[in-house]
Amino acid sequence: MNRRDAIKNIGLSLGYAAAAPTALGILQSCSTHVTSWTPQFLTTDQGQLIINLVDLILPKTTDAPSASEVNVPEFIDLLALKTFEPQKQKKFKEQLQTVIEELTLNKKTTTELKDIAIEKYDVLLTKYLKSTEAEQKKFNKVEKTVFNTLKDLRYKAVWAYKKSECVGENVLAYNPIPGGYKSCIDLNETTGGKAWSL
Amino acid sequence: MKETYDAIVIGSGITGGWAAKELCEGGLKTLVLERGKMVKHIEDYPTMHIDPWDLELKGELSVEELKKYPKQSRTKYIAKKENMHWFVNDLEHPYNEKKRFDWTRGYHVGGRSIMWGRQTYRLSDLDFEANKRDGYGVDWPIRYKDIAPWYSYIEEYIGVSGEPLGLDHLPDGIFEPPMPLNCVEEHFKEGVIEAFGRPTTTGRCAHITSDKFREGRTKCQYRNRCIRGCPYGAYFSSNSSTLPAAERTGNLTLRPHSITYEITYDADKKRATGVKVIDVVTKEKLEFKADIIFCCASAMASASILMQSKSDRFPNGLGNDSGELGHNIMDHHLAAGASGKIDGFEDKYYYGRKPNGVYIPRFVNLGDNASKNTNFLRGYGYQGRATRDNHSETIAELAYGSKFKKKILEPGGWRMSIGGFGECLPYHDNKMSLDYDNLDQWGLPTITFDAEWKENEYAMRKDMIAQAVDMLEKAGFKDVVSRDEPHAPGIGIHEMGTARMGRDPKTSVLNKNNQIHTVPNVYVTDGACMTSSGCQNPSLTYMALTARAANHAIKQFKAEKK
Repeated sequence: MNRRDAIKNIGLSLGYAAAAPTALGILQSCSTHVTSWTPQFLTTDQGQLIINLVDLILPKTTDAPSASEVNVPEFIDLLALKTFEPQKQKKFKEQLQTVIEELTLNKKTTTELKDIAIEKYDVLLTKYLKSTEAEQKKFNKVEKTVFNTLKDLRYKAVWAYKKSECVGENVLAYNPIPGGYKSCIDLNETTGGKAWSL
Repeated sequence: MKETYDAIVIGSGITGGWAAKELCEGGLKTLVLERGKMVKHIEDYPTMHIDPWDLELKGELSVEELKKYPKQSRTKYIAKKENMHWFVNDLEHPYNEKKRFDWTRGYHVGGRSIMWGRQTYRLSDLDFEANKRDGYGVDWPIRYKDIAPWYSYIEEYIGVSGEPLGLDHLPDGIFEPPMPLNCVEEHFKEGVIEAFGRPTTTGRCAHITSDKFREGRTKCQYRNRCIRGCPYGAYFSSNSSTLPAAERTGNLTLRPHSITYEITYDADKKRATGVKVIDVVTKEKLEFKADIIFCCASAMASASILMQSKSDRFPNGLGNDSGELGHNIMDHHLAAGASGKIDGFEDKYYYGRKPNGVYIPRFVNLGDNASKNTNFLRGYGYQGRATRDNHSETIAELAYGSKFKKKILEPGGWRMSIGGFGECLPYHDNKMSLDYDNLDQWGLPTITFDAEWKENEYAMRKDMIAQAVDMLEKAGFKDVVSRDEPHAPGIGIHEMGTARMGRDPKTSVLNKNNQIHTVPNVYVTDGACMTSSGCQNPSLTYMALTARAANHAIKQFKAEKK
C-alpha cells in the first residue's frame, strides 16, 4: 500500500473538511503544461486549432487554469487515438479540417493556419456558439458541420477539463472520502458554489 | 490437497459465501470451488481509490479494451476502466445466442457480490402465491412464513439500511438507519404520496449505516465507489463478510481457479458423491468427494453443471426427470421510466455521494380491485434518484469564455429519474441448452440462450413508463422525458429460474428445501431455484434460501452421522 492509499484508508476519522484552496495555490499546482507538443493522432495544424479553440472556450482566469494548462488538447488527441473506431477517427479529422478551412479560406486567398490571428478564432466561435436558433437553421451544409464540430469540441473540452487532476482536486470541490452524508444543505456554504468533482 | 470433505460449495458469490459460512459454522469441513482467481478483501481492489485523472483515459475504455467485451459492453453497465476487471472477457468465455441474452458475469472469488447493485428487498406472499393465482409456472413450495426468519437472520448479519413502511406486499426487515433522501428526492416523495397515495421511500440497500459491531467491516463512507470493492466493507460482499467468517472456523478450504463441470452420481446409493473439476492453471482434471453438494455457481452456470452431469439414471442431466432443467429463465426487465427537471432548488446541494436513491414499492395488481390493471399480470417497482447534472446546455451569451467556464464549474440543474423493475413470467420456452459442437478452451460445452421478453412484459413496460411520467409531472417536474430500452433478458443481472423449486418432481427440479427431488444431497440455492421472479431485487431471497438450505443440510448431515 503506498502512502496515498494509507492516508485515504484513515478516512474514517476525517471530518467534513472541504476547504477551498487559494487562487495562488491552484495556479502553482497546475503548472504541468508543456510548451511543445507533437500530437499522436492529429496533424500539427489540427492540434494547434484545438489549443486555440479550447483556450478561448475555457480561458485562464485568476482562479482557474486554462484548458491547455491542464492538457485538454493532449487529452482530446489521446481520446481520438485510443477510443475512436477508425470510422469515427476519420470523421473527426475531416470535421477539424472543415473548421480549419473556414478559418483559412478567404474567397480566393488561402492563409496558413499558423498565420491566423487569435481574433479570427474568436470571430469563428462567436458566429457559431453564440448563434441563435434562427441563424442555425440558415446554416449551409459546411456551416452545420463547423457548428456541430465546435459544439462537440466544447463538450469534450469541458469533460476533459473537469476530469483533469488540477481542476478535479483544486478548482472543483474535491472530497474522495466524504465519511458521511448530508442530504439537503446550502450550496454556497457547502462548496462555495462549486460542483463536486466526483 | 485433501480429496474428501463433508460439503462442497460450487461458487463463492453471494450464495456460495453464505453456504460456506453456514456449513463451516455448523462444523462441516467445507471445500469452496471458485472458477476464477483469488480476490482478497481490500488487498485485491486495485481501483478502490482511483480518481478519473489517475487513469490514462479518465475512465473510458479504449477500442482495444472494448473488443474483449462485445456482448457485455452492449449494456453500458461495465464499460468503465475502474470496474472492467471484474467482468469476464467475452472472447475467453463464449456463449451462444439464439436470441440476444445480456449475460453479465464475474469469475473471481466473491463473484458478483463485489459488483452487485446492493438493493435489498423481501418477497411476500403476493409473490410466493403469484404462480398459483394466475397459473403461470408452478406453485412455490414455500410461503413467506417459511423464509421470513431467514430474511431477518441475513439482514441482521449483512446490514440493510432502510425504512419500515408496514406494507404486506413489501415486508419490513431488520434495518440499519435509512439513508436520507436529498432535497429533490424528498420533494418527489411528498408529491407522489400527495397525488397518488403511493408510499415512496429511500432505497433499502445492503450498507452498514450504524455503529453496530461487525467484524472487519464499518459503516458507509459515502464514496459511491462500491463496484470497485469497498475497503471499509461497508456494503455486503462475500469477500468482506461471509468468506472471512467461514475461514475463522478453520473448516474452510477455498480453491480458486477450479472449474466444476460435473457432479458425480452413485446410482446404488441414489446420491451425489462429489464433483469433477478442471484446474485452470495446470489444466489438470481433479475429483473431490463430499456428502453434501451446494450449487451456488449462479443460475446459468449451476444449470449448466447439472446438465453436464449425465448418467444412465439421469441421461438429460442430474435431477432432470421433469425436463424443466434449463427452462423458465426469468430476469427483471428495466430501463423503462422517465426523468424530469425541477426549479426552485438551485441553492441546495448535498454532501457525500450516496450509493442509493428512492424506491417506489409495487402498487399495481396487489390483489384488490383498486390496484388491478387488466393489461398485464403481476407488477413492478421503481428505483430512482435525483442528481445535479453537468451543464448540458448553456445559454447563448455564455457560449464560451470566462463566464462560461465559471458556469461549468458550478453544479447544473436538478434531474429526477425513475425506472421500473418489472416481474417476468416463467415461460417454459425461455431456455438455455448446451452446445457440444462449440466447446470452450477447457473442452466444455458452451451455453446457448433462447429467451425473450414476451407480451406480458411489453404490456407492463407501457404502464411503467406512463406511470413514471405521470408521477413526475404531478410531483411538479417539467420537461419530463420517457425512457424505454428493453435490451434483452440478462440485462437486469437477475437471471434466474433454470432449476426451479416446486411441490411436484414431475414439474420442478428442487423441493422446498432446495434439494434436488431425487438426489437429496444436492442443493441448488442460487438464482436457478427461483419459481417466480417477483419484481424485487433477488439477492436477499437467494441468501435467505441458501442459509435455510444450509441449516437443513447440517441437520441431515448430523442425523446421518449419529
